[in-house]
Amino acid sequence: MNKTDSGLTRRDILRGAGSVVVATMTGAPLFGQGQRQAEPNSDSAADATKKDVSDRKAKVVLIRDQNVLDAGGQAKPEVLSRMLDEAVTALLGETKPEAAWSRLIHPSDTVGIKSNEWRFLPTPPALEEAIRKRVAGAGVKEERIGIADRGVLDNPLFQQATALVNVRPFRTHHWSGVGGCIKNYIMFSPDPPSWHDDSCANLAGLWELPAVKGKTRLNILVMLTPLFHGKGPHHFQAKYTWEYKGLIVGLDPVAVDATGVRILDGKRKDYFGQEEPLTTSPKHIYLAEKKYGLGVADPSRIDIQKLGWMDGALI
Amino acid sequence: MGLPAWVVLGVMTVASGAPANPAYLADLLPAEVQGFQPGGRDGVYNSDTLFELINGGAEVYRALNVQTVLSRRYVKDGAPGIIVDVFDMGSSQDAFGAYHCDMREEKDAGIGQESEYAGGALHFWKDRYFVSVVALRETDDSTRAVLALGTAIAGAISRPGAAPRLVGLLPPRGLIRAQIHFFHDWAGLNRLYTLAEENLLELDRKTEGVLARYRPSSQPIEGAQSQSFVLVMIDYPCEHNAEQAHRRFFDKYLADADDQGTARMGDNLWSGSRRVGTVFVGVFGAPTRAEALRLMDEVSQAQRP
Repeated sequence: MNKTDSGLTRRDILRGAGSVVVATMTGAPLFGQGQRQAEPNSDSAADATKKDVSDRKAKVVLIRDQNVLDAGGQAKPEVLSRMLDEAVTALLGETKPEAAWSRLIHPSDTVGIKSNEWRFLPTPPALEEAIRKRVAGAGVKEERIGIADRGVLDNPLFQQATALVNVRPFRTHHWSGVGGCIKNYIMFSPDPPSWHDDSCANLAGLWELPAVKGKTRLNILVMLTPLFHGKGPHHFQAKYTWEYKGLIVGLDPVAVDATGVRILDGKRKDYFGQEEPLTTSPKHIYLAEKKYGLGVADPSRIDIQKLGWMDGALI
Repeated sequence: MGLPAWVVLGVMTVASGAPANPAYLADLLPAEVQGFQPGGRDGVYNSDTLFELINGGAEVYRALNVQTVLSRRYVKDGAPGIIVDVFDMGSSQDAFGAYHCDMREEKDAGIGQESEYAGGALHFWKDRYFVSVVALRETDDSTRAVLALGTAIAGAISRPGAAPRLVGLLPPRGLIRAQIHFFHDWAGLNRLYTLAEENLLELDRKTEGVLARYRPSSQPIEGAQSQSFVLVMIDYPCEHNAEQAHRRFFDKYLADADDQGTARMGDNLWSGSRRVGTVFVGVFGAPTRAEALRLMDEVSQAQRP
């Protein structure tokens, strides 16, 4: 992992960013106003491994369905499954989900679905099941599909995995600013606290770990009821979630997280009545592009394809 | 002759890193409140084991010298559980910091020295303790119990403690009181407002810093608009240390500053710094040069005897 100081200062970044205000380093919105709409890209999972991403564009799909949650706030499996299918199909530019998943997963793969079991906002089991079904539908035998979070390092299936699907709910985080797709791989480290330096600035380095490198086929950021504000050691009050009813899907985890942050910023502005920066700035997303070339954080180079219900989309 | 068992146990306990005797924390907690009683064993954590309780969130409190944490769940038939965590932060200044590591925008709940209740959770600080009382689901019953628990715990803490000295130097005009934060080291500052990867200000556990956000009193006619900007103050053990740190920061970050120590940044907003005695004063992201200077001048005046 690369944790050496590059001597980068905020002034260096502000000089290099030109008209784009790179404000991940602040706790202000991730980027300033005036982003241009990006042109459709042609990125692929292979492209995601390139280091120099300054010219790269990324595509994410944002899908929302007004009816995805029942009266108790639980996800309806059939609606969630349909959202996943539509999003992945659109992301890959296919007409049917089977064809899309067959481009992501090969029958000979061993697939780990890296989920998130944080007690207050876990990945909905219905979504885990929907992913598992599509992976099986792509020809992978059941015994070569696994779903896990904290035990991944000791899980034989994950030890042998050739492909990963990265899925978790989006939320604010006390120390890293936000918990998104980039951070979701921290359990692949034998020493997760070692990644906490400088408020988790170097989380993108996790993606170079042997257990992870080059294996991620899809990133899914669950935006059904995201957490936009947190307080205290447990950093969760239901009051600070809202029913956004969405999923953000992409091949590029940085673009997926950056898009999530924009939505979170929009919600905070809506809630507080003015721009209200996150107390901890999610600078690891910016550094994931700038320092690690993991993906695209600049909104002007992220093409967001929107599907479904867009009232209150905030983006 | 062998050592008495209690000595061996004490040495083993200390050697393992476990708190020597957390009973003093348990003594702060009531045996029963509104039908809620302790359910299960208390968890006891130190700076190294706090991750087991709150994962990565532990870093926030480790950066503020957390000593020992006692966690207890209260239960009542038919009601959601309540988690109480009592943090011994070692000093009232660090307890203030633990409370203010989050935005505190809600009205004070009147418990401890400062407190906030929101969404089923109560947080407060008093003396060297930071306390969290969280209902797993907010109901009228749980709200009453959470507030009653907090009141009981605050009452059991015998005396108040002092807030960090620098808080008293914060100029009041434009201050966003919900956004006052305390830190010691570079990681603590960078978490709140990232200036650089290097520790330009030579911060360590002996330094005490306060970061506060301010609303601009005006916006420039042209150029960048700023919703809020930042004041950073750091108190060093002596003037020599403060001068050395300020010089290093200035040379690296504000080398193009004018004779008042201010410079316009790449985003067209203004930053500036100066040293006043043992205190570094920095302003970042101000909409105008005048605003940056005003804040630094007011701190300078407040700092002088």
